[in-house]
Amino acid sequence: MKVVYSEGNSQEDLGFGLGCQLAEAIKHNIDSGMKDAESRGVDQRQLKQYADQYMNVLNAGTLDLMEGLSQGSRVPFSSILYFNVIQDWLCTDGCTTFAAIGKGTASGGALLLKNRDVPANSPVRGRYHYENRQINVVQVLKNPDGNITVGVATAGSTGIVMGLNTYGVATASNQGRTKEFKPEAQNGRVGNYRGQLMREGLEHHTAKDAVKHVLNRLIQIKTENPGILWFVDDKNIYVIEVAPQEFSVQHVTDGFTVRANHFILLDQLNDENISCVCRYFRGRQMLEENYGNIDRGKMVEFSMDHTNGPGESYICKHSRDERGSVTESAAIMEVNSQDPKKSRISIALGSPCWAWRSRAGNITFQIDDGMENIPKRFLDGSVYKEFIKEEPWEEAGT
Amino acid sequence: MKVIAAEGTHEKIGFDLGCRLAEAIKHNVALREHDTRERGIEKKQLSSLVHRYMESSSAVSLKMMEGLSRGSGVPFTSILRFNALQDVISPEGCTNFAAVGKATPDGDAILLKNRDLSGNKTFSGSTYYNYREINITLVLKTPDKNVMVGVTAAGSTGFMMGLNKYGVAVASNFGQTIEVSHVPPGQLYGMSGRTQMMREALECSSLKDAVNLALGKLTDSPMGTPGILWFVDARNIYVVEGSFDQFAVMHIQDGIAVRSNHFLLLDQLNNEKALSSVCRKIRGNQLLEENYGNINKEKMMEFSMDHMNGPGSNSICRHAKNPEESVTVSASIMELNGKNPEKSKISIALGTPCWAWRNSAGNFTFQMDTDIETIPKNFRDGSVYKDFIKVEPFGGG
Repeated sequence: MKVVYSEGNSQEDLGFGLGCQLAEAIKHNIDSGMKDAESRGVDQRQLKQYADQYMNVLNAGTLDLMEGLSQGSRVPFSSILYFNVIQDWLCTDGCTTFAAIGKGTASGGALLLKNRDVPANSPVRGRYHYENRQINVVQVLKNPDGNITVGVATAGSTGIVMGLNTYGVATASNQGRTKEFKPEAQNGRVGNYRGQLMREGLEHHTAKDAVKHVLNRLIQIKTENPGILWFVDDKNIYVIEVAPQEFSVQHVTDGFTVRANHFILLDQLNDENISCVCRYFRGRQMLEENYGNIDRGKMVEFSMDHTNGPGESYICKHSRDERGSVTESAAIMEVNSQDPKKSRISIALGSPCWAWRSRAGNITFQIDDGMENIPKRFLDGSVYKEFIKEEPWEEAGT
Repeated sequence: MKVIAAEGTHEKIGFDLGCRLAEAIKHNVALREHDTRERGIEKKQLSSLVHRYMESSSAVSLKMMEGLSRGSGVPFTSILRFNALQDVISPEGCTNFAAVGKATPDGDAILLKNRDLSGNKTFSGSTYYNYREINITLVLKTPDKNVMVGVTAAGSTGFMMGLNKYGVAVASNFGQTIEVSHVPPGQLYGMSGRTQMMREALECSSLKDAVNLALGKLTDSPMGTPGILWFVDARNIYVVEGSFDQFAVMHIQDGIAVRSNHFLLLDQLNNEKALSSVCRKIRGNQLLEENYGNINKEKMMEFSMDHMNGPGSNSICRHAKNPEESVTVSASIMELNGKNPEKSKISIALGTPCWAWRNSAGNFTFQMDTDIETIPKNFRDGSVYKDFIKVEPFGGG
């Protein structure tokens, strides 16, 4: 995973900047994505049909961004579009997300943590197929209106998996393990627009406006892939649970909330899944025990937690199974209520239990930081390779 | 309950209604003030609530209130306070059913609301009947040529249920959640009044706009009391369950939906002691499932009159000897027309459904593109409600 920066007068400019810097990564990801889709038996005609449907629901800014990515990387627009469809279709990221605010935190401000779990359930993208792994990037974008967004994304995708903007609005997402969820492509469902919705959400000045935007979009578009979206600012935590026929919103102004991949409000839709239950209960336990003292340091601890393990029931997930799900990065977003531009995002690249413990494995951005402060190792992607580990830190005898 | 029509700008509509309903408005406002005092709501808290309510009200709602005030001679602040407390002081019970797609014979959606209301022994005078405030059926024509037909309380600028010219139908229920029993006396929550949201939704020309408006309001502020909102057009049913810090939305394009005062999406919030809600929900589901594919106006009328698990407070058509208990006081069936939304119809039974649906004198049907004058005069003077509101069930149950 590396860090890239782009700025411009339009979404197309931003996309062009990213496309130029990430041309090789985009080509690699598209190639990997297509192989993945093929290995799961995705039919080309079906893909085209979904692409048409997908294009109709994207907003103009997203299409402009894709156009820019295409021009900058010299990859055809249709390939970029198909890649985004596949990405949203086949991506079955797990994840555990925590947020705390008000009396729940040491400062009274808001904090959001996401541990990003990626399953290796693809025949061509298993954990031992490093050459086929997708390349993720930390992208810092200065938008035409001056809004700066920092987000983690897959090169070539116009969606993000977590991020923060100039106004102190933070976002993250989780997949929803409901009864209708099927990770296999042949049973896959289109309509996971979470990544796009999060990026669109970060165009807003407040979490409330971001939520209103997303709810409006959820009425307009058909989302068949269950999931959870988070929008947090200095006064509010909003958690949106989205299923094909239902969605719900939880609003927290004082306290904390947790999600693994189970729904809490729409509980009746959940599939029975031990890992989700373990991570949810462990998350609640840690937040309750640390109520009033939750800060970045505590969130780092939670992100590295290995209770209920070993294996996939850890919050910091490890797996020796080639097809198992592992935590491959984490982000902590600290919203600064006095000066939102001073809000910070800390990103650990690789297994959190290794990456948070080493200064070389994580990086903290203040939203108005310049790119010149970012160490070269984060710009070339070598950190991730160094800190993604099969075994938990405690078991390595370090 | 009587039927009243008004036309013009929102202020003119308000003025017209104010003039015609002055006595009813005065009684309803006085009753609300009395009820507020009885509940021990502090003046300071009330003042803060009314202030926040005013800030969150749309400009047209405030214009209507101004008109009501001028027309009725009731001070604007009293009208405002009456509306601010509408959902908090008089939460409606109610049972709602909807069906769409394969569940109905023609695929077009249909919505039923049985409106339940509790009485108060202090309610007396010419504008009350059987200890309950008298409500009205309103037909409104706004300058944009929209027509809205719905049921409301005199003095309120909102609707409890209704239909517009664009084929958008709305209804609401109170949510009997566990939080309600934990709320300290006089404690008031959000500013998003269900009745105001219902009217504002009926001013929208599409269902999506109506739902979006409601969700935007709920994101700004929760409902005053937990509740359920329904938005239906010919092809879609949206059910919104809202509580103090959460809300959930269900979208149905093919099938059925039922709510009494029990949440289904936010099930964990339900007060399990509310037996009536559980009985009505289970019975409602049973009726809709047994009639799947054949649910039409006649079937909805049957459901509306159902006395299974009663007759009493657990039946869908609710009866009670004690005037302070909730009983069904009216029902509406809204038939949405997919080909021509202006041909959508609303049928309203005034009084106890088991009596009023069975007698052509107890109910009327209004097609959205027809003239108000087609509604018989006795519906417009309020006499029908008095004829058909009954303590005992039809045929002895």
